[in-house]
Amino acid sequence: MLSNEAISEVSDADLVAKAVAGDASAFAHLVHRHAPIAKRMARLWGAGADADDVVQDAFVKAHAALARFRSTGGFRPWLLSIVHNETRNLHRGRGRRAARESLAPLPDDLTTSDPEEEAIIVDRRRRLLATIRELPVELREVVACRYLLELTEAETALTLKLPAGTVKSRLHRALSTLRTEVSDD
Amino acid sequence: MIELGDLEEELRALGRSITVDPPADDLAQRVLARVLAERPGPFTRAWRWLVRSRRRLVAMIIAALIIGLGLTPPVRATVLEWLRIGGVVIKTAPTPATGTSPNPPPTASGRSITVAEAQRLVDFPLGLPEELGTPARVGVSDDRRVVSMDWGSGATQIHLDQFGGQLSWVFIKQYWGDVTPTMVGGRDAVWLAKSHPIVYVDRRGDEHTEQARISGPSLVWQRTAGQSEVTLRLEGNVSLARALTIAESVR
Repeated sequence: MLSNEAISEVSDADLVAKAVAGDASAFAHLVHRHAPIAKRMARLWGAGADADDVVQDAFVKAHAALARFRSTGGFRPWLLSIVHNETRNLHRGRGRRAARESLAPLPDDLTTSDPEEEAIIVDRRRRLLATIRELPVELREVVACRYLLELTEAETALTLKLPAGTVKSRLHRALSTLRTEVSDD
Repeated sequence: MIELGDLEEELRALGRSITVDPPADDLAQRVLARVLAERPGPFTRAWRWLVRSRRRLVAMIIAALIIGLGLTPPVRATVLEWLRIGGVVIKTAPTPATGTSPNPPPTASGRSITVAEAQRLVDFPLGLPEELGTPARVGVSDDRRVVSMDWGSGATQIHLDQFGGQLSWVFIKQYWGDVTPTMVGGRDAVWLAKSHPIVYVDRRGDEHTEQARISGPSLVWQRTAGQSEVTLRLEGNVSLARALTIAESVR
């Protein structure tokens, strides 16, 4: 079954099945594969320096719940929904102010590869980011999942545990708001 | 007003421009260490049973990894891949670290004890390579997980580490050369012909980089002794053929 494939070609569903059967190395491969996006999400949701801990906690919880995982929507959105939850718990522990500051990646974190246009582009991106931060949280989350993390609409719905129709309508509302705000500048 | 498609593209570009440091290299290891530590007691036996029954599957994954690595020299730089034999994890690294001449293996510090004394201190059966006879020195690590034996000294020194259990790993090797799959006693083994850094991992999954050193060529394999799975790591300036002869002579 696996004989001539590199592990990178083994599907998530196969790795999950092996991990459920007790194969620790299969779970380790799932960790390697999905840790980067999980950490990115934790950072976008404002975990800051705790992002690594959030990701680690999320994987430990995912392992404990692995037997309940159903592969219909894929491992990634399922994992990200746990990361989402863990980040919320983190904010609860930190208090209200920190919660308000969530989804606040530092502008210093923005990079661009084109030195010619760097200043203009970075400035524009900062304003766009500021506009996203002003959105109500339910719109901010769908924008972050769908565009900043580049998930599909279906993955966004599973990650945020929302019906597909709700994701669609929230995205529509968010984009309309952003379009107006960005164009006004 | 900005086109919808342009706005979407700009949002994606914004997402990509937010830099996030990659997750820690040892994340998987820490996760698994916690998973195993938090596992409730009654499940431990069932877990062990599963570990034993999936041995062939692990061997297949390792074989798949070896094939994957073998077909793509130089070792893939961006994808962190590793393989595992018993308590040894081999991480492929893109480039040699500075200073790659091997340090001598740590000889059993303090008083050398006898094999029988070492056996009383650990909970897994020790093996002895008949090829090499009685070891010159025997030592047990402070946490009683690893028994080390040495034969000879200087350039001809041969060092053998033995440790029990399959659940946690004990050594991590960062390796950039060709991993040579081989067999010892009919089971999968690997031969690392080039010098490489080796790090000790404690029971909690913490890497002890302060104890890191450069290992010489080494052979890693496992043997079943009684009810126990023992991982062995032979290190020394020897050929693969010689290492295999020594490994096969372990009783």
